[in-house]
Amino acid sequence: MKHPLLKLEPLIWLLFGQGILLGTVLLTPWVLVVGLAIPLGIVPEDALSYERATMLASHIFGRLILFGLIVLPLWKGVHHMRHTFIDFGGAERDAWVAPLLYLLATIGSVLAVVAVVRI
Amino acid sequence: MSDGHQKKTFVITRFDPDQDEAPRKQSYEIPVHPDWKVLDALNFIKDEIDATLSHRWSCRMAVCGSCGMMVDGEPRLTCKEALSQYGDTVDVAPLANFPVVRDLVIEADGFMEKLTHVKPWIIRAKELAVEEGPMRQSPGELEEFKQFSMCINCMLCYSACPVVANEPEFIGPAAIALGHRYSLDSRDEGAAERNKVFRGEGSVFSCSFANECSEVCPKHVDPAAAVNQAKLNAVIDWATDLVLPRGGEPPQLPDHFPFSGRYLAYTLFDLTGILYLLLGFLVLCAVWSLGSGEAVWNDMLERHRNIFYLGFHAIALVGLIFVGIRFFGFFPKAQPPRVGPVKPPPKGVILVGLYALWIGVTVCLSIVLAGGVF
Ligand code: SF4
Ligand code: FES
Repeated sequence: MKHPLLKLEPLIWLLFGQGILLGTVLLTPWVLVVGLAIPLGIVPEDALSYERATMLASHIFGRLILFGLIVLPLWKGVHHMRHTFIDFGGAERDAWVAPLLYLLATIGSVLAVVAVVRI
Repeated sequence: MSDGHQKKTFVITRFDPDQDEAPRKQSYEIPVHPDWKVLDALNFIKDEIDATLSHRWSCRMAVCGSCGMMVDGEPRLTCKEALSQYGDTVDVAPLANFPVVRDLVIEADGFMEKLTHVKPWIIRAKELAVEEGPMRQSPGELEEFKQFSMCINCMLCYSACPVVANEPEFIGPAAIALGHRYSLDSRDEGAAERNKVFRGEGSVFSCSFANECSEVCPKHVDPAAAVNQAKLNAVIDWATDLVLPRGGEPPQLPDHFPFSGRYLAYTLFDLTGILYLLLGFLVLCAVWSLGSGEAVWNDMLERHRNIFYLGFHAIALVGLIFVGIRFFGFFPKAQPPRVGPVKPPPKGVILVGLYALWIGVTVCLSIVLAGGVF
């Protein structure tokens, strides 16, 4: 498993880095509004009524941003979890934990494509 | 130069990565001198006939190791081989078993890396103080490794080796000979470390004792001897490890790891990975529900009012701000001084730009999401 992973490492690192940078930038407004302001009633719920949400999300930029909002955090997430796992003494099991985590992110990324296409 | 008495045809492998799909052959018929080496002919072609031909050479006296090529299918130093021993047609190709950069030039990075793996330097448990004077070595002690130190890194042995051909990760003859040379040195104390390397990835045990390396070595290093001596050492090392595991205490993690002192921020930063993974999947669910119709979408919004969702998002917000501040602080110094001809802006500007991006996108997207515009 080590060899294919080594080959993919540059790509994984790139996604990971952008997950921190762009991912954080994009997630902040998402969490502020969708995660907190709307559920708490600070912003009226019809801001993201089904019609308006569909309108925003089906625009090409909407789809792109949503895609980034899913894929980037996933890769930042699994890569950091892999590091955490190693730091807490799991280095010997990295050989199967790492592929498993990356597989999870890959599945999520594939679903992300489907999700933004079917809006 | 060209008033030779005899003519020979050189069939040379050409490869231009920008144009050619695969290497091709090109023939040159040239007049040759009786005292020429193969390299002289290549230089003649390059200078007089086809300046696009690429090949490597430097010393012309079999010490720099750069002019190795396949001559009539055998790995040879072209500066060393007399042309007279070849027939009327001479086939010249880049060294086998290496990626080709262009024409007769091969890519040596992999080999260079292997050389460093074997720790080719004198390793001491403790450096001698200068006052203790030089480390003495008797002629007998020198003799033990001298042969293995004559290597000129010409890589002929790699291109002759059938194991290298099939297992590119094999450390290979010259690198093993070099490592072994240091392990044999009376001043060195690093044999145990090198034995670990020799037993590790691309191990000495890949060698099937074909002896081809020693057949082609122009400096009589006899790398096959080194590889097979190294095997025995590696076996002894392995057996000793079994009987009396050595190395004292295993390496210890630094104090305070991972949750206090200097490491706290680092560990927390890594732990935000879980938040991001969950956020990614939450957004995925949201987008998915949007595609599944109004009822599902409204359920999703409803679910976000749940206290666990709210709590999670509050923690996530703290996590995002923490990641942003920590990472944006590091980001400017991760930029290279220059990318090609382009210089990145000064570090302060990058930092301000990042925060502006973060705050700007947050404000704009928040307004859009909250129904302020559109
Ligand atoms: S061992 Fe001999 S053939 Fe191999 S790189 Fe050294 S000099 Fe060349
Ligand atoms: S040119 Fe230096 S070894 Fe041949």
